[in-house]
Formats: sequence, structure tokens, C-alpha cells
Amino acid sequence: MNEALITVDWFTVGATLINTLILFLILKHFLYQPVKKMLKAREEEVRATYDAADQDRAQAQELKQEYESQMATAKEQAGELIRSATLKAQSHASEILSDAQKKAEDRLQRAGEQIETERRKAVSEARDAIAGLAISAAEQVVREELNAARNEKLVNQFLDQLELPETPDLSAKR
Amino acid sequence: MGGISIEGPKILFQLPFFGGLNITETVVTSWLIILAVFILCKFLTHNLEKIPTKKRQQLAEKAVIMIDKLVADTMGERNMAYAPYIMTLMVFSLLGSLVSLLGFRSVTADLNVTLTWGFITFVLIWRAGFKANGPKQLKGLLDPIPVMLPMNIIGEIATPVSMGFRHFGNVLAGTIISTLVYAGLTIATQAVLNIAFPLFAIGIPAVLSVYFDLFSGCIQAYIFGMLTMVYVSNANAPEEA
Repeated sequence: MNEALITVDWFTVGATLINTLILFLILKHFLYQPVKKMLKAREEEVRATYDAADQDRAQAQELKQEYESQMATAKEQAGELIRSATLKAQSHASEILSDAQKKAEDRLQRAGEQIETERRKAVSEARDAIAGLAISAAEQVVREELNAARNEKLVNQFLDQLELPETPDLSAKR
Repeated sequence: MGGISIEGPKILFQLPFFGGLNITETVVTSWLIILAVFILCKFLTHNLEKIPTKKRQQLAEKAVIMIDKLVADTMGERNMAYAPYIMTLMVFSLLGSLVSLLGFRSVTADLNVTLTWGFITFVLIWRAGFKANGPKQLKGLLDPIPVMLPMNIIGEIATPVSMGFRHFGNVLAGTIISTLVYAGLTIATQAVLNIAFPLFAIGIPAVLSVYFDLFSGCIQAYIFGMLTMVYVSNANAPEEA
């Protein structure tokens, strides 16, 4: 049994009203709202991610600047350190040099003095030896009974023969 | 002529209330559509993820975004609350027409259904108008001069009626033409080849079916939704300064 093609069947009208409402609720609660909720959550997450990235980038920039300034300071400090160390080393070196020079001069002077002393000692020793020889020569002369003139002449002869350096003060003493 | 008859929906059974309520094909098919949509929705939206990895979630998102965009473009951002109803209307109308492809009688080929949707649109139009303008909305019936009142009332009622009849007529016309073509081709086969088997009825009706069932079903669903959106957004349009 069929209904007429064009008729108003109030039951079908009511049923369609209710069916449409049910379909509306189903689509709204099981498709539209969950998807919208998820889309919104995604949008928020994306925004949050972008915000965080921006913040991180700003922070990184700040850190970079900080490090750069620190590096510059460190470089400056290092340069200063090297400069002062160089200066110190130079002054130290010149000090050592002058010290060494002074010491060397001291030592040279002392050596000279020592040589002088040694020489004096040697001269006095030589004089003693000469005196001894002269005395022995005089004894020889006395033994041969020579006169004084001849004696003196002999002595001088003898002294000349010795050819000692720096004899003047010897003769001057005589 | 082969006894061609175009009839209304089959009455499947009667409920013994109020002198017999007819449960027709239309109503039962609607229930099946609702069930199918419910299952589809549950399938599409279970385990939604912020980062979609599944095709079905992308499909669900696409459907919602498409409807949202359509509603926003046609009705403006102020009317986004109507999006789920527009979605319902379009889905119901589309599936109601396309069930004919599965061998059911189109739900939308029942005037009671399309007129009911027209009535809902009518209610929405007036509700939106009253919300936006208050009682002044009724004064609009007296524009431009009070004598126009009967005309305006007819005009207002004509809106849902014409919408309902348009949708019904389009779908029914497709059904009628398809039936006629089947019958005609059967008769032609008998006349030309003199065999009982309707050979010509294979293939040729499919081309018509693509237009009358598929194309017309989509177009009518779109038109019905579009008209509803335009009428409702006109009713609550912000007054132009």
C-alpha cells in the first residue's frame, strides 16, 4: 500500500521534525563540536609554540650579546695582562742585565786589585830575593877584598844583569 | 501502456493510534540515514589528535571547515551558530536524495519531508528577525504601505512552501523521468528486438541517473542549505547606517 504522491501526512511531518532534530544533535555533538574543539586546541598549541619559540629566540639573542660583551672584556683583559707582563719582564730583564753588569764590573775590579796585590807581593818577594842575592854577592866581594868603588860597580852591574821590570823604585831607594 | 504509475512512499506498517499512523518508507529510511550518520560520525571523530595522522580525521576536519567557511561567507561571522544546523540540512538532504542509488525511495521525494524543512527554515527566519529587531520585525509586514499586509504575509509563507516544493519537485521529477525511461526502453526493446528481456534498459538509464540522482541530489541539498542561510542572514542583517 502506498501513500498518495502529494499529500500531507502529519505523522511523517512530525517524524521528520524529530529526525532532523536527532540528526542535528548527532552531527553537532559527535562531529561538529569535537572537531571544532580539537581545531581550537591545535590553534592554541601552535600559537603557544610560536610564542615559546619567539621567547627562546629573544633569550638566545640576549645570551649571545652577553657572551659577546664578556668575550670582548676578556680579550681586553688578556691584552692588558700580556702588556703588563711584557713590561714587567722587560724591566726585570734590564734589572738582571744591569745587576750582572755590576757584578761583572765588581769582579773585574776585584780581580784587578788581586792582581795588583799579587804583583806587589811578587815584587816584594823578588826584592827580598834580590837583596839576598846582593848580600851573597857582597859577601863574595868582601871575600875577594875589593874596594868600595869596585864593589858598587859590581853591584850595579849585577842589578843591570837582572833586567827586572819596574826597577826605578829600587834605584830610587838606593 | 504497461501500467506505469508514480506513487507516494510505501506504507510499511500502521500504528493503531489516532485512527492509524502510517509508518512510511520515508520515515524508516530516515532512521537508517540517521543511524549511518551516527556510525560515520563516531568513526570519523574517535581519537581526534592535535597532529592528525589518520585519513578519517582529516576528512572530518575538512567537512567541518568546509561548512564553517560556507556559513561564514554566506551568513557572516555573527551567524556561526547556525553552522551545525546547515550541516544537518545538507547532509540529510544529500543522503536523503542519494539513497535512491542504493535502491531506496528518496526521502526527499516525499513532500512532507521537504515542507518540514521549509517550515524549520521559516521558523529560523522569524526567530532570527525577532532576535535582531524585536517586535519591530512584525512592522516589516506593513512595508512599504499597510495595504501590502496580505501580500507580505503570502510572500513570507511562500518562502518555505516554494523551498519545499522545489526540492520535492526536483527529486520527484528525476524519479519520474527515470521510471519513464525504463518503461520506454523496455517497450522499445520489445518492439525492435521482440524479446521480453529489456536489453536497452541496461546502461542508458545509468547516464540519466548520474544527472537526476547524483548531480540533482547534490545541487538541491546545496540550494536548500544556501537559501536557508541567505534568508536567515537577511533576517538578522545589521542595519546599514
